[in-house]
Amino acid sequence: MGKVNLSIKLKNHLNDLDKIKKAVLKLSTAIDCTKQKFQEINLILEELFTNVVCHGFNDDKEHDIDLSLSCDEKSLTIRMEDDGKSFDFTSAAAPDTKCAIEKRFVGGLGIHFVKYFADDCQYYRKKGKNIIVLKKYITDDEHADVES
Amino acid sequence: MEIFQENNNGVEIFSVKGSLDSNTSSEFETRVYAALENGQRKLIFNLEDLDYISSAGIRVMLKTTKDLKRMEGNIVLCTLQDYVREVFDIAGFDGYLNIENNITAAMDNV
Repeated sequence: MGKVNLSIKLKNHLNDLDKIKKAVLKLSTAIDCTKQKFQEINLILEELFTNVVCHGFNDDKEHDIDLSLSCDEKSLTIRMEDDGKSFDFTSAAAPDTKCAIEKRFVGGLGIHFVKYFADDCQYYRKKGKNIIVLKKYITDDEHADVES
Repeated sequence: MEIFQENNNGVEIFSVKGSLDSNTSSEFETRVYAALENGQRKLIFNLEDLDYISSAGIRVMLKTTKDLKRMEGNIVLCTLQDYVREVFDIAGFDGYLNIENNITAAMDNV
């Protein structure tokens, strides 16, 4: 299998999640990954995208969100760029998962999932843009090597 | 996403198939809350055919669990696929939610 590169132009509309799902499906037919990894990739991308769409912009205007997925035999690199307000998700506090249910909120959970399922997370703020670069190992062996 | 709904001995059972994501979770929430408005207080979510869930789907489950607790009702989840189970564990919801391995155990405990 060679390298796979996909570039997806998105707007800040939740409906564009379908474009992401289609791209991941396309990716999964080109690479050899388990159903579990496929779901984890979908989750990372959905949470990143919905977080920006729901919380990233202070106005009601339409914004571009550029997503690129590039994959080789071992890993997937996700790059997402938006011109929303500055938000370094890598330093966001983890939700309190041990508190009583009455006090439990779902806020922050999406980012918690992204950090958990991605193997490497980088955030940059450049020229008024948020740039997120994530790496996800797509073979279980590779992940095990990194963990050990 | 597809939702199959039935009532068995006063227990409202929702079997969810496919994906509970940002685009489908609101429909699921509407169906669940229509049952609560109809007076149903015992719910089972059968997740045997649920392949995918995101924080949007989890939000509906947490909200339903909280509201049913306040209404002195009960909710049990059953037959979770490995991926869905892992997502619940990472969310830290395994301690809040009543999760059973099969529908029989769910019926016994609801």
